[in-house]
Amino acid sequence: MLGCPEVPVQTSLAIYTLDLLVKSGAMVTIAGNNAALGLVRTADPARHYIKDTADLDAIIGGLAEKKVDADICYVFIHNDAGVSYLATAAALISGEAVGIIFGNDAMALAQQCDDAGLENIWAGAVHNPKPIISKVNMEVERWAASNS
Amino acid sequence: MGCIEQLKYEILLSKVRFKECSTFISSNYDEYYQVQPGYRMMDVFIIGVPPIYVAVDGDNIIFPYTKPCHGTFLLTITSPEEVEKIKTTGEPVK
Repeated sequence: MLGCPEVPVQTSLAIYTLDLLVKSGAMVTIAGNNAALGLVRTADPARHYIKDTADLDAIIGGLAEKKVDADICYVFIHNDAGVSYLATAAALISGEAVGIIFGNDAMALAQQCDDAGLENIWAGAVHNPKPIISKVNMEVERWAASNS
Repeated sequence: MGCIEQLKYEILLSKVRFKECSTFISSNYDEYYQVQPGYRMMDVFIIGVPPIYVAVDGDNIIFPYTKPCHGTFLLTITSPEEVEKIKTTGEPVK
């Protein structure tokens, strides 16, 4: 579940996470607004990684009406709205919801998530995804191991 | 703002943090309810960090509406139907 795409690392981080999930055997849908989806589609023109995308509002509706569900939902967060989406995903899916928090306000947003009892990983990555990559690796490995 | 744009709404708070909407509702309204994330109001699904408050003022319903790039708005819409629905399905807080 993608947030507003104004922070540069989001798109590459999303495709990186997608690759890890697909390699672990997951079927992945990327949800986002038009701009966020446009960026990931443009970065993967031959669809080597992206198999399915969905409008963010439509997927929230589908989850709320129990038409779709997920074993794991990674929510990409760099602002307050992202925390709201994570809390909503956590309430609506039968599986886990985990925030992947980046950007200049990452530490404060992680604290917000902790205060609300929302699982998350975070790093202050803005242009360079390196600070959060190892945490994403460990998180997806953790989830894949718990489902094997 | 998606489907909400087709409705006649008034913006009470614009581009704020979600918690500011909850505080505004609890400080300014005599009747409000708690709903779960995903609560459907007309064609929109309310998202947010619980507790999510929705207030009633006569035939008007006041609720938070979040967009990924713009933060949260507190909107009010005149809808006797939604007022009736929240009174029966929401959890009264005050």
